[in-house]
Amino acid sequence: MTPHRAVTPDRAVTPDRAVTLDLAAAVTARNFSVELNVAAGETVAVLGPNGAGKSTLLNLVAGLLRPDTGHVQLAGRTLAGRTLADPAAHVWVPPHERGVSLLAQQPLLFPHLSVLDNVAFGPRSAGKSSRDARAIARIWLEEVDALELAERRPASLSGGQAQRIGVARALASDPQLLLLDEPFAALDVAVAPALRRMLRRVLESRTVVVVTHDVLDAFTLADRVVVMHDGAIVEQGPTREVLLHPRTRFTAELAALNLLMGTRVDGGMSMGGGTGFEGRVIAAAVAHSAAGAAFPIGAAAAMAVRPSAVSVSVAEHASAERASAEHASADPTSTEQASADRSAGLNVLRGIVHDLEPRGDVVRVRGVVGGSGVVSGLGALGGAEGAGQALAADVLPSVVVDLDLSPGAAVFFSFEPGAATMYPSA
Amino acid sequence: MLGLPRWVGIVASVGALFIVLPLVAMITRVNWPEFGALVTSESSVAALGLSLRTSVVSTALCVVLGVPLALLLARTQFAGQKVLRALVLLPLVLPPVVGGIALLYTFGRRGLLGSTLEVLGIQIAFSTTAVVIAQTFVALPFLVLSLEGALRTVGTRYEAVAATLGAKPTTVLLRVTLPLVLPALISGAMLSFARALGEFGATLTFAGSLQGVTRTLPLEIYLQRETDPDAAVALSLVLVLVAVVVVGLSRGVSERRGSERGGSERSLSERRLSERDQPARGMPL
Repeated sequence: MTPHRAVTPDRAVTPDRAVTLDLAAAVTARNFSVELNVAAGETVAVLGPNGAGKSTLLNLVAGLLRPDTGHVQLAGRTLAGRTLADPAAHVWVPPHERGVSLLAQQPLLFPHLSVLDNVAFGPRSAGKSSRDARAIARIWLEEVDALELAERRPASLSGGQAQRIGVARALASDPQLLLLDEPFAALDVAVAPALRRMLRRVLESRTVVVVTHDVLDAFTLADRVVVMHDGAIVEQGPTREVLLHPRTRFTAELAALNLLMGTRVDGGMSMGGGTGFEGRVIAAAVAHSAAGAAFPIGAAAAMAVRPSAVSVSVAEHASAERASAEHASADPTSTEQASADRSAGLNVLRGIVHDLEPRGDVVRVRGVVGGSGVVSGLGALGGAEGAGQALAADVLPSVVVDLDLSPGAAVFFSFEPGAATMYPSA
Repeated sequence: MLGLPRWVGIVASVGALFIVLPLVAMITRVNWPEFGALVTSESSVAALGLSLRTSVVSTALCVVLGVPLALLLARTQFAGQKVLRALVLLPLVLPPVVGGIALLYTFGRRGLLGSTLEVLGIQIAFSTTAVVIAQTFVALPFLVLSLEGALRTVGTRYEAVAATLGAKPTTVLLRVTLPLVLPALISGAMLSFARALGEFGATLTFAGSLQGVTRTLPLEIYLQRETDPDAAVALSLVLVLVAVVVVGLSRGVSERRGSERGGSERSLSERRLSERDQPARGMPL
């Protein structure tokens, strides 16, 4: 690749520029209100379920949608909204003058142009001669390992190939900011990893906003994640910090983690009455917040545990039923084993099954632990208050059958302290 | 195959016969030994030549005027858009002779624009220009309808991508939008051409019937019917063949390039082509 760099020396010298996206915008009709900053050279992943407002965010930045109020600025230039210099004027920079490239879920290659001319479209639009534009296009095709596809028509490409070309085309227009909208969502799972690796390489030190609902994309590509829900940002921060230590239900769902909230006590967390252990759960790992904030006893705490580390039993003394889910070697009926687990500090939480969802070779048992509703449902423990907390366990189908689980069933959820991580919830 | 009630097939056969039988009847009346001489007579050749020339020019006019109209209707929103669409499509349902009268009172000697043009020394009515105007008037909706539908089907996603790649609106239009709807543009132009070729009522009303100047093939056929039925039948067959070729090409384009529109327009064009309406009273023949 290096010898070809000579054609675009400016890029080789300054692969990234001091670009900062500063957005604070609202779209009333879509119930959207977001403030977002992106530093130069940073890749930010915007995570959220469908309808969270991720595409609205991209459209606002790309210039395909006008904010009702607020502003969009890129590298100090106002793209939409009012400027400080002239607050009376309402600025609107059309998409083609923004220096913002958008790569959608579908690559949307122009079907009437060859692959090479698709990639050359951006440089050509910027006023380059046909020859120069194609030379630049070849560099980018090589960058995405697709030079051999140059003369092909988009209709003859596979999904993965087309998305590579889409990446090359977006980058060839030399954008100040690159927007990726679910770049892998339409791809075969088999080709996504290679494309992800390629993207990580070419996006290095570029300013990128990538919208996704897949945490793997965020882990692979993003320095920072922003979690959206219902048109607002609910959580943001460094990728690993946010996704491994979620502080909202929405983030926990995206990261496929159980999130339990409570108060820090010595060696664990208190969830209030009704959950078992006098509402106390134990975590072996205590993670302090990335900011190094204090996490004293009595502070608001959150605990994350994977559903696959949680097991389900119908009686507290038989909590070793978990063994059938995780350790096939263990004897599920051994009460001795159960006692051993209890003495080792296995967390056992009373709960009620809410629903069962088959997920491949396991069944996700969603339940509610703690809370007065649960207690009345069990009819045994009194004095508990507050709403229950959601907890999910992935168990083998045979466990569901053996325990005769169905919505409404009273159960015990249990997990090892070592499987849980506790951290400040604020 | 999902079974259809038997009677549907029977009624459909009647419908198909209804279209095919008249054509067959006409072909049986063709005077084959004299066919060559009939279609190459001086007046026939003049009429065919005039028809082809004027139809080509009016098709070009339809493209020039119709593309911006279709873009405006498909890609923008403004007050009165629905009214504009209805008005643009009006010539589709308007009796051509009414269109001819409307054109006469626009471009005629005492018409809205005609009197001004007369001062400038330009006389349009009863000239070859009038033929082109009449044909464009009736054929324009075919192109607009076909293109607007295609523009809506294609959507704006490719255009949005092109804009974010830095393409100015004109670049987007010329390099993305129009190439994407090219099949519909071609088939729309072909339908307009077919409609222009078959135009009778508006032409006769507005342009008259002067051999070599305004007497197009349909007018020639209508005149010959009185004096030389064999020539009328022979020329009719020529028009049928041209229509078949045009419809076939247009269909081929839409199928090959994946445009699903054209079917409804085609049936409309055939209805119009077969509708050889009567000349208005007091025609300068």
